[in-house]
Amino acid sequence: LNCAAEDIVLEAGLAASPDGNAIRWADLATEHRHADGTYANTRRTYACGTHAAHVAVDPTTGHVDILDYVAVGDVGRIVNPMTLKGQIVGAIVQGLGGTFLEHLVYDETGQLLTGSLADYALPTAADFPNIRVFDMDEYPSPNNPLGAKGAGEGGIVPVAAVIASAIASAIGIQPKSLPLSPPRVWELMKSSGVTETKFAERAPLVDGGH
Amino acid sequence: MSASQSHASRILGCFAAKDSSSMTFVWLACCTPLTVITAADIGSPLPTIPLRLAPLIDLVPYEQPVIASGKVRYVGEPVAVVIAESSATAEDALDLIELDIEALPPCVDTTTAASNRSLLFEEAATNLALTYTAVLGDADAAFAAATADDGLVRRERLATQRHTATTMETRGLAAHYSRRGEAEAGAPHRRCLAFELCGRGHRPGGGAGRLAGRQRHPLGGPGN
Repeated sequence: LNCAAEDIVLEAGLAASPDGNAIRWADLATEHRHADGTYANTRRTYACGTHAAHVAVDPTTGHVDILDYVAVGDVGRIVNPMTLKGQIVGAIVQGLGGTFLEHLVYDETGQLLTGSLADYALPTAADFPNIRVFDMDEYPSPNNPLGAKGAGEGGIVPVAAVIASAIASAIGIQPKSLPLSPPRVWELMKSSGVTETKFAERAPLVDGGH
Repeated sequence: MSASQSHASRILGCFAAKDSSSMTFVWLACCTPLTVITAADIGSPLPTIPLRLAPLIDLVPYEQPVIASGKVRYVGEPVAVVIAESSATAEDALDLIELDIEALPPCVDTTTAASNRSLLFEEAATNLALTYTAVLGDADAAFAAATADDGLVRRERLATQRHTATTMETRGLAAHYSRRGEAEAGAPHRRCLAFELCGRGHRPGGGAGRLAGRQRHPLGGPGN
């Protein structure tokens, strides 16, 4: 480019000199040039988002059906939307497993009773509906050049609280301990005097259609 | 079966015990295990399993030893490791190990644990390992203002059940040793185990969260 290295402007995929000459980065790359650099940053980033769940509780069994689950998150700049969605859906399903199914149960002598995957249930594809995930990158993080805030494990954070609150809305009692297995939800209703009649008197659920 | 392979099997504690040092070993002629490792073979002080994510000083007295010594604290705690030329021999040898231990009162819930009637680590004097307080901003002022304005201050006691990481990859360790290595280390199988004991183990694959942490069963590594 016939100019000093510090005069070169790197922009829009081009390395340009002050007098207008330019080389594409892609062409530079073919010349097997190497560069090393270190980037360090102590400023943390925080993604944010919100989840909502629509559940149906069976007053006779305590079984909870998830009719709909929607997650919206602002993760900063999105690099790969497909893998991002996979991370978040996976995290939510892990959260649903911890909320409804997974429980290491011990007997009074300390012997593990849930020693197989038949007893320690993990979420499967048939257990929950399609999780609706909407990711936004409207607000890139100012704390790093990529604008990324991080995504992945964040999807698991609100799941138990969202589900417990949705169940509270349905039955009128706030669950305070997990997992929300059918016997526990049933016990919760029974101990709080929620009967099928009272259940029916509650405000009708809004339409659960997607 | 390659001559360079050794198989490790562990016998797991089934009782809380006051003494796991008085184990009796009986061998049949057909069983030729390379060695049996107990806490006495590892030496003192017995290494403990460090915490990865929150290695707070308060938690050090509660770090689990890599193998039971004097006391078995939970169902599944390893008390002996058998190294043999085949896993079948190792398992047969395990059957020949007799434990002479006394049962302690079980302590399987937080209420019983909090009573300190049965201490997990006597030297710690309490089962309460840590009180964790998380505060962002001036919480005291916020609570004071809320109370002054007749605002709602809500207290809740919330409980999460014990559950665990889901295995995406097996917890395994493939290692080999050479005759040269054996000469250097004295006992080749202990090289593999020593990696973990000394915190220099190479865990297979990657990992995040629970998978990346050291588990409570480092000694003997994979298998049951």
